[in-house]
Amino acid sequence: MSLISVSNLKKYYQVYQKEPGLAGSIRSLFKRKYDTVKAVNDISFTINEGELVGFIGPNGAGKTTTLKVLSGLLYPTSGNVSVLGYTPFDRKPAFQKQFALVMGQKNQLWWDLPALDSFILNKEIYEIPEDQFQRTLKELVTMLDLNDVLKVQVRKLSLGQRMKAELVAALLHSPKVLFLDEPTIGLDVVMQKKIRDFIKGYNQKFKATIILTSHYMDDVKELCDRVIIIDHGKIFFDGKLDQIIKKYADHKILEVVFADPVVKKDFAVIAAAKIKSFEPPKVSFTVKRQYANQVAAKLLTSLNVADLNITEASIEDIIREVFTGRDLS
Amino acid sequence: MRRYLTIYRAFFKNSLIREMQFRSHFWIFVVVNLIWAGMAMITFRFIFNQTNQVGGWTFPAILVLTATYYLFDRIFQLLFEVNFSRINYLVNSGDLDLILTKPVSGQFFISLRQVSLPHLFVILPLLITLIWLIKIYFWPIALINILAYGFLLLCGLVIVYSFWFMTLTAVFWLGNIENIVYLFGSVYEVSRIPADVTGLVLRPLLTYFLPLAFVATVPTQVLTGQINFGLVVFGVLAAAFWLWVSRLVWQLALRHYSSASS
Repeated sequence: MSLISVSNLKKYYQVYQKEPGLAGSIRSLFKRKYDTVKAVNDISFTINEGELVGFIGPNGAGKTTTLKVLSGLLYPTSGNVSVLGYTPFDRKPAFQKQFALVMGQKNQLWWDLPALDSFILNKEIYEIPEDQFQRTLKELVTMLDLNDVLKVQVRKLSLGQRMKAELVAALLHSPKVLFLDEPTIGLDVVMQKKIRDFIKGYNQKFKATIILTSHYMDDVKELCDRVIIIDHGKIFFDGKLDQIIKKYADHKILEVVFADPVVKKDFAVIAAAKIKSFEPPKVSFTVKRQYANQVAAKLLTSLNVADLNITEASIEDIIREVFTGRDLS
Repeated sequence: MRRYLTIYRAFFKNSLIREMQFRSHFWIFVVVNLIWAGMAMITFRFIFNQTNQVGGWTFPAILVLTATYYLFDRIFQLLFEVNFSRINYLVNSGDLDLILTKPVSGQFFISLRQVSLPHLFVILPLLITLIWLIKIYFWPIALINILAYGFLLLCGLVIVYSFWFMTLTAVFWLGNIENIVYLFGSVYEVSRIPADVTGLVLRPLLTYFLPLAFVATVPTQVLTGQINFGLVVFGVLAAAFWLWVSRLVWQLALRHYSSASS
């Protein structure tokens, strides 16, 4: 059963163009030029209960805007959105009690107070019974290893600790649906991993439906079976992560270590391959899938090769190339 | 309703914990505020050296009016000062996002989240001043007048809140306006003058359309003289009406909320 369904969603903004300088500012008081920004331009998808879906795309692609529409923060320009059977923008408390939004760059905790005081406030807001509150709190705090800092002012926490505390604050009411907007942004690799493990564990343990946006491919690779790639407000790809490789990677990578010194001229014999990086004695090539074996054989016979590897292109490379619109081979 | 009281109690508690961490500005704040109120009363002394009455208002009545205005003002600031000055930031930084996802009225949340507790310590001496003025000039007073006074102050609070809040929602349409909070602040200061000396145009305006007379003028009249029950009823209706309008404006504003990009 689909828990989230979006059909033909559009969200356009009017953004006014201000000319620079004081004169421009004064002019803009009387006359403004408006531009329409199509942040989300006709997207449709459905998400089932318990799924963990990754939204990826470059800055300004429309990922966050989509999450905000799903959270009922933004009023859609057109289209239909349903989350848990509710229309998000109606902002029914019954709906709001069942989802949570976490944004890596925004915080809900009181800056000058220990996190625990903000948690207690959320307990009142979400009307969480005392025993359930204590139980959930204990569970989350243990999962995130946060016990020591609950009574420390939020302003004195490290970014990683604060993010963990934000997660606890957002999850105290045991939401069924969770929107995570770049939850690992700015964190070091160790902390990123911890947050990632937590998200995975939370998804499995509580069968929560999660949409995650991130700029870090590791987040998506490790957590999401399914990804939705958005660019310029449109859905570019929706499916399993490894299908991206099948669909878009029509080339393979040849990594070769040569035993003798080589120059670029030596590679004239393998016209089907393009040099990807040239750091002698290591050279890597991109080759069309169907020519990969042929090229490898030719290299082995014509040059003195110490080591050779044929690999799939990395997802990062594929996606980067998809976004920059370059030829993939 | 009970739920909102529980949440407000949590707001209050958090404000208290927060406030106790900053002590230094506290006493300076109290002294400066009391000097303001005192200066205003002294100014009237000079005016009444020349005349016994201004538009039907005697010097003692003017003193009660002034004390009432400052009392009202401090209660208002206690409840709304920090919250109102943060609205522009919340809307333009997008920090409003996480507030709006909560199962509680966003208007309630952003209007009342933080209590500016230092004002409490100005309210106390003002209240003592007021009681002292009543004691020497207007005693005895019937209990019903005192109750009506408190009730009218409450209506005044709701009215001023509603208007002030509506002016703040302009940031949803116009973007970043840092001193938007002073816009209505300067209008509302007119309520320190008795509304019935303001002339034929302003007087009905301030009583019925922009009912700032309910800040100090009407409550003072009730405390120092007769209760005009018609005006009390009107005050209740006006408060309820404008609160309702402010809610509509808030809902309209949310449709224009563009949030900040992250």
